[in-house]
Amino acid sequence: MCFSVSAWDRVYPIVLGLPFNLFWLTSWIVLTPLCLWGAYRLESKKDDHST
Amino acid sequence: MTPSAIALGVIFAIVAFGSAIGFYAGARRKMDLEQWTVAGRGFGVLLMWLLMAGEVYTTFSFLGASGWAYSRGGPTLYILAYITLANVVAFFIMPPMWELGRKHQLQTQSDFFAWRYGSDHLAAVVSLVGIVCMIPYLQIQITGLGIIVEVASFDGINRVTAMIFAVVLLVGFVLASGLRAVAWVSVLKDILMLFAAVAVGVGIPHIYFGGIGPMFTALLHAKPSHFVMPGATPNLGHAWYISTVVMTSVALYLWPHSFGAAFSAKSSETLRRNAVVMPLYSLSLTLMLFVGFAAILVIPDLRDGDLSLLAIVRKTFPPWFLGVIGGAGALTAMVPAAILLLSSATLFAKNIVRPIFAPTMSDHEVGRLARIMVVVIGGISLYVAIRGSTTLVGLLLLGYSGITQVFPGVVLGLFWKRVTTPGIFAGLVAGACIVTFLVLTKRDPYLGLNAGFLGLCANFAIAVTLSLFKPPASQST
Repeated sequence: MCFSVSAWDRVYPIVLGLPFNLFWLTSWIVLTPLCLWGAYRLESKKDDHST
Repeated sequence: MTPSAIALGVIFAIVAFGSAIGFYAGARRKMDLEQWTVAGRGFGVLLMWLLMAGEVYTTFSFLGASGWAYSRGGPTLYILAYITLANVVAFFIMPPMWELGRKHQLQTQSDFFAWRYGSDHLAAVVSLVGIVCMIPYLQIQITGLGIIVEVASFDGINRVTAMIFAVVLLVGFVLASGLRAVAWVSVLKDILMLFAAVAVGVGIPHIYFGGIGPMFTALLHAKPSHFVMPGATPNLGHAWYISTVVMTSVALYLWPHSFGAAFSAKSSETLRRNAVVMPLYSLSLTLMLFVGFAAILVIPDLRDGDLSLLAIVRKTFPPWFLGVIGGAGALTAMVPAAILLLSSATLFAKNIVRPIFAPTMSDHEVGRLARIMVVVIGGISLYVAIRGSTTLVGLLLLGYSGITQVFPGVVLGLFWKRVTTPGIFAGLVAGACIVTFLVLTKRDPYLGLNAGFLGLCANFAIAVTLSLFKPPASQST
C-alpha cells in the first residue's frame, strides 16, 4: 500500500473539486476508522468465543 | 478601539476563561504528586479521549499544517496520512500494553522498559530521549503563541516579547493546576478549534473563489507543480514521503505523554475504541490545508509560511473574529504545551534522577524537583524558540526522528521473546546518534529518505542482530 505513492500523487482527475492526491488521502481518513471498526468487531467476537 | 486592541482583547478573554476553567478544576482537589501528574488515574473514557485529542492536535495542526501547505505544497500531505496510520498502529500495540500495565503495575514508558529489560539505565536513557525530543515540540507551541500575538497585534508586539510572556503564563498555569486542569481546558480548546477549522477552512475558499472546487481550479492554473510532491521543495519526493509517514506513524503514540494513556485508560476496550474514532479528527486538518492553499493566491510573498493562516484571517475578517481564531489557536498551543512541560519535568525527576542518582528521594522531593524542572525546561524551550528559525513542521519532524527510536524497544519487547537488553540499548543509542549526526550536519533528508527513518532502520537491524547472537538466557543480565 505505502509504495503506491507515485500512483496516486497526481492532480488529475479532480474529484469533488479536490486534486486527486488530496481526495485520496482524505477518503482514507474516513475509510480507516471503518476498517478499524471491522477489526474491532472481529476481535470482540473472538473474545466472546474464548470466554 | 484600534483593531489590534479588539483582537488582543478577545484572545485574552478566551485564554483567561480557559485558565479559569483550569484553575477551578485544579483547585477543588488536594495536590500530591500522583494527583498533579496523572490526576489520580481516575480518568473516565470521555476525559481520556479529550486529553488525547488535546495532545495530538496542537499548534502544529493549526498553524504548521497550513504553513507548509503555503510554503511547501505537496509534501504536506504526509500529515493527513500519518495521524490516520498512527491509530492503526495504536489499535494493535496499546491493548497488549495495557494488559501488561495492569499485571505489573506499570505507569510510564520508562516503567515498561525497566520491567521488560530489567535495566534502570535503559529506562533512564529512554526517558532522556523523550525529554530531548519534547523540547522542539514545546518550541512549536511557544513559537505558535508568539505568531498569534504578533499577527493579532498587527505587528505591534514583536514575537520574542510575546513568547516570553507566553512562557511565563504557561509555567504559572502548570505549577498552579496540574493535569486535571489541562484536560478540562482541552474541552474548550477542542470546541473552539473545530469551529475555527470549519469557519476558516470552508469560509475562506468561498469568499475568495466561490468554493473549494473553483479554488483548486484557480490554484492548479497558477501553480500546477505545487500540489504534487516534491511541491516547492528540492528534495521531499516520494521516498521522503514514505519514509516520513512510516517513521512518524509508528512514533505518534510513543511520545511519553501519549504513551501514558495505555496505562491510565479504564480497559483495553477503551483504547481500541479510541483508536477507531481518533482518525476522524484529521478531517479538520484537510480544512487547515485549504486555508494554506488559499493564502498562496490571496497573500503571496509572505516571509514566513507559518503566518499564512492568521494573516489571511486578518485580511478577510473583522478584528473580533481574528481574536476568536487567535484565541482558539492560543488554547491549542497552551494545552499541549502544558501537557508537554508537565510530563517532561516529571519524567526527569521520577524516571531519571530518582532511580539513577537518588534512590532514597521521597515523593514529596520528587514533586519539588519536578516543579523546578517545569521552570528549567520552559526556559530552555523559550531559548531555542527565540534562536530557532525552522518551520513548525520542520520542528515536529525533528522531534519525531528522535522519539521514533524508542519503537523497536516497545514492539520487540511486546512481541518477540528473544530480544535482549544490550540489543535494544545499542540500537537506541545508534539510532539516536545517526539522527543527531544527520540533522546537525544538515544532511536530512539523506538520499531522499528521512533521517529518522534511517536511524530507525539501523536501530532495528542492530537490536535484532545482537539479540540473535546471544542466547535468550542472558536476558537477566
